[in-house]
Amino acid sequence: MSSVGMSMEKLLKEKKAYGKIRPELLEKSKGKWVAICSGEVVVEGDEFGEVVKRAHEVTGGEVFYVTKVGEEQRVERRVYRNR
Amino acid sequence: MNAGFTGIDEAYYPPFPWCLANIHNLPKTKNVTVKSYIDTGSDGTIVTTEIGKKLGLQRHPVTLAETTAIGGKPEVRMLYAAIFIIKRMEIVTAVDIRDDVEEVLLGRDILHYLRLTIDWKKRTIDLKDP
Repeated sequence: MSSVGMSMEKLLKEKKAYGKIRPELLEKSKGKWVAICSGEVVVEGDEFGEVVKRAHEVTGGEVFYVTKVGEEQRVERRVYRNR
Repeated sequence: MNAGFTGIDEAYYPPFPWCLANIHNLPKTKNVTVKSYIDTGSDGTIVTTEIGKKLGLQRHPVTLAETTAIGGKPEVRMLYAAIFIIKRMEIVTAVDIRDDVEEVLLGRDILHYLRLTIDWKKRTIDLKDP
């Protein structure tokens, strides 16, 4: 499998893991950005950029999944009106 | 005035405003400075496959998003971490790497951090770190 394919597989795995822990995160971290690696929250914070940079440091460059708790549908949707 | 840093590209009709962006990969080991078009109609930023490869952005996927172009079908795509430096302001975002674009398009994920004034009549762009 290519490295891109492996990254996709890992990202999907982390997203699936997020789905499992989402109910508890909705109670304690609603509205926060979280980075998930190996099925666990490795970083959480208020700013996407800060969470991504810290997660990169903490995981040593592993693939991690980032989303905003309770606002997944809003932040994981993009419209390109110019294309 | 930002001579050389911003402009309006008359090769497009209607003309297309642009600014220079210095784009880095997440570990900040590689970077390129490119003319980037200001696309207030896009929710997110898009880079070309060439830039994605040059910076190795595909090593750092961070999320998945359902992307849609007007009149197109929704498509779930991986988005990759990239660091943009515009006017000395550093913005980390998740970019879509596409082989069907020929230029970098700066979406509102980046633009909403900046103070941007476009004077179409005078053909000037004022871009500031607020």
